[in-house]
Amino acid sequence: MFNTASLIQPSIKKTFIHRIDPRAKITFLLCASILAVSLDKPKSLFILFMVAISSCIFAKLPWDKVGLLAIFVILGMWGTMFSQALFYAGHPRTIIFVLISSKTPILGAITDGLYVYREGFIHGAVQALRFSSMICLGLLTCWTTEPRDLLTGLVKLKIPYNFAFMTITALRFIPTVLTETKTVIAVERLKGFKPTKVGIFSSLKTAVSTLRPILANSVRRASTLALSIESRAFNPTAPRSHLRDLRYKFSDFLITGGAISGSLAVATIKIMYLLYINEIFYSSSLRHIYQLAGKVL
Amino acid sequence: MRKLKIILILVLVVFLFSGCQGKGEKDLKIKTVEFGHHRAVIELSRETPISSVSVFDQDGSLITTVTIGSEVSKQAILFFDWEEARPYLFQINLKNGNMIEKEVKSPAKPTSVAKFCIQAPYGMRESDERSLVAKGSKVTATVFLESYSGNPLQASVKLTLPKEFKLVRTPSIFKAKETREGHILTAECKLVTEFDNFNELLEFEVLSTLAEDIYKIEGEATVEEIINGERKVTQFQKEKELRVISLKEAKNLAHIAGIKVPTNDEGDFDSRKKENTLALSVDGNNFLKRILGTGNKEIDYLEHPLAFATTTVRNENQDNVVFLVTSKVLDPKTKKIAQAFRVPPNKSGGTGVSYAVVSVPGKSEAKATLPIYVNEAEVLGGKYILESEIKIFGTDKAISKKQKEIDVITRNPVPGLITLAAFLITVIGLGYLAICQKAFFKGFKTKWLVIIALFGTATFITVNVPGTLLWDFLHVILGPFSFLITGIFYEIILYALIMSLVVLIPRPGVVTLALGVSFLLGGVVLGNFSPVTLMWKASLIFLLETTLYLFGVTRKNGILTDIGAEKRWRVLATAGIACALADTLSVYINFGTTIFLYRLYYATWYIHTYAVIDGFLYTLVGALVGTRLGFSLRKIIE
Repeated sequence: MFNTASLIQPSIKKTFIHRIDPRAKITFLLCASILAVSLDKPKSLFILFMVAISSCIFAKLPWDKVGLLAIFVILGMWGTMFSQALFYAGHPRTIIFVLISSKTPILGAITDGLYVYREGFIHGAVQALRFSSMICLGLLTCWTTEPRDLLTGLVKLKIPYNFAFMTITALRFIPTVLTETKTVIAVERLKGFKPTKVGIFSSLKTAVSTLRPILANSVRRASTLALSIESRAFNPTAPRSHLRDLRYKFSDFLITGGAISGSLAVATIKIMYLLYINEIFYSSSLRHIYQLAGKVL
Repeated sequence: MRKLKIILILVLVVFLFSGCQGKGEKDLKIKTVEFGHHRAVIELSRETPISSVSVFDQDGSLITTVTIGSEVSKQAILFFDWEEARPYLFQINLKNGNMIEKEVKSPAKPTSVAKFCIQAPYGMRESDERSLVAKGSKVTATVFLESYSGNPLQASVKLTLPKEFKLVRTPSIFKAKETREGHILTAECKLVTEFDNFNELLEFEVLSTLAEDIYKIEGEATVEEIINGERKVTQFQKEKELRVISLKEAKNLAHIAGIKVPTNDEGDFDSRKKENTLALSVDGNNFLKRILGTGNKEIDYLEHPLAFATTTVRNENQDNVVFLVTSKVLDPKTKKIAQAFRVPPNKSGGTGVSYAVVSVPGKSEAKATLPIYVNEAEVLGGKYILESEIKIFGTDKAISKKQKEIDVITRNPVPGLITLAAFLITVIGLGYLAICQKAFFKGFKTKWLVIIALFGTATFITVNVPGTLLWDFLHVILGPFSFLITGIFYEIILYALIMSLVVLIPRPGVVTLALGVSFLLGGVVLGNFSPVTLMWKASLIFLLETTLYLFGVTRKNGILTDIGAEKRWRVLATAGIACALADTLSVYINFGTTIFLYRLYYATWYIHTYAVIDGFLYTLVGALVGTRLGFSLRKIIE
């Protein structure tokens, strides 16, 4: 059902979203994640989710990716709704199903009863908007940017070059290791391995027998690769040049500036509000801000 | 010495916090002092455990003191011969050692031999001539006669009620007779000592068929006193009017003008607090008490209200009316009193609701401030309904009711503190990497970096991809218990890879690089750039690096140098436990940040189960497998 290649390979087109600088995309993603954890009102979380969805529409993602995204969002949302239906501890709450009665021996005593609460489903659905927005924007960033450009962006954002070098190396070998893994699994199957058989011991046995040749190959390959890199006078601390240098456009400045100022403003307001409702800090001059945070954000 | 310092600091902190005055103590004061015959009744702003009560004259000399013990009360009575128009200082010593005082000037002395009054309905002021009663109400009235004489008094009481009223309950001391004038109730009694009293409650019904009019209740008391052999007779007469109106009219004449919550005990709204929101009290003092195990939620619940709700009652009528104001917190679903908000059984006569009697002059408003008690051991955060209701005091018909939705915020500081700790670890870790990257990477050979990168690829393919795909599907079927299956990837295989890498390159920083690359790959390929993932990864890196170093796994000349066959089991056990402990702690960090940042709920038993199975057991198995795998991979390098 899932195509791994469809999941990890970007689809490069010439839309506005694709043209955004990777640094602006990463900054926007981080700002969106700050918003996702700062906002509380269902309406504002829904708006954030709609922004994420509309960005995906503007990016004209291919149908296989749209399908994949829909599956991730729907399944993720259901997962959160399911867990919250079981553990919802807000008030009021209505039991719609009893999984374990509090009178059940042992389990009842441990769990104090396990029930499915109606309000938990709703709470889960609202909170899942946070994850869903992040899943959409995260995958959108990856699917609309070449991984190398993303890493160049990260290096320009001052992550240590060694990390970027290692990540590029890791990225470069994904197809190779993926092919190797498939081969190893095929061999294991020929030896009688059943992938549908679930169990700790069988899974462990399979994991070890699958990992050993993959890792052994990696170790061997590393020696050759390291030698090849060092023979080219590799120096991770030397100044770097890039095949395709990134240039910040006016629209990128706008996106970055808007995202940073918007998310910082929301986060600051929410922190102020948090201090206020927890009776830690109050200033009468901030009353309008408290109102905004309580009613809108 | 160091331990001694820590103990001293802890003692100092405990001492400082234990000396803090409770939040409610600041508002506690002497509300009124009412002078009676040879006594003064002191009323406090709220109930509190009182140790003793004293009164001093203007020279500061002690007149009298009464030791109460530690009774929780709102009122205290002092018996002493006070003089007219003199200042007296009243002092109340509380159980916790605090003291409150107030200076009051005494009024003119009462001269009468006795006091006679009728309250119909019960609770109306002595000065009020008329009161309102809605048709169909049951009215409770009281007849009160109190002796102010040191001599025995022989008294007779006569009460005349309109014949249109139906007597429901008459005390046995009264003889009832029905005449053309109405119901005549008579009683004889003897008041032997000063302050001895005749105090009887009776109940009658104002029939719903009754015409809307003014009805009179007349009372007469005759008191006989023998002074030096001479008989002295004193007569008292009282007349009270009851204006009978329809329930509809009653509703128009008086209503609840508003409810404010939370307020202080004087009904003032504190703008520093959020309106219609009750934040459960987890202040520093209580938090410390809980950590030290000295806090007792049960005692807090029984003795201290969480907040106060103030109901403003508007009386549109011309006359003064006494209202009974009740306040309760309801479950919005069942519309019944929310169990956690029931007033403790030792308060409000065990009714479970808060109530107050408030006298409202005509054409004006008055506030009734009622406590809200919360059993914090039972309460759930969320939405509730605060309902206030008013009845004309002494009657049973509610004439106005108002509801307000309130939010109850539970303040558990633990997830917030965990998130803060994870945030600090992340910031410090990233800061260190940014500033000291040269020093960090100095000892790493290019070959090692490539090995770590390729292990990152293997981690991505064998952990991240199947984990991401399986996680969502299993979540649909198994819900929160999908970790039992996905843990095979996220814990067992991940730790197998990490530990095999650590065995190959046993030095600090390897875990940082491996997990750092895995995070960047997840971000670049799967878009997992969320700050929660970053904080969790940073904390896991910090914990793993620390435990592996402390257990000697990544230390120079540690247990992984020169491994003989006999040392293998020791290495396996040490590495396994180091990883298991680190991951168990990281499970708690992950839950803490998720609960705080994503506002999700998880049962405590579930978190512990997750930590034990996923965090400890699976990690232990993964680390053992990985260490063995690492030994076999070493042969390739060698």
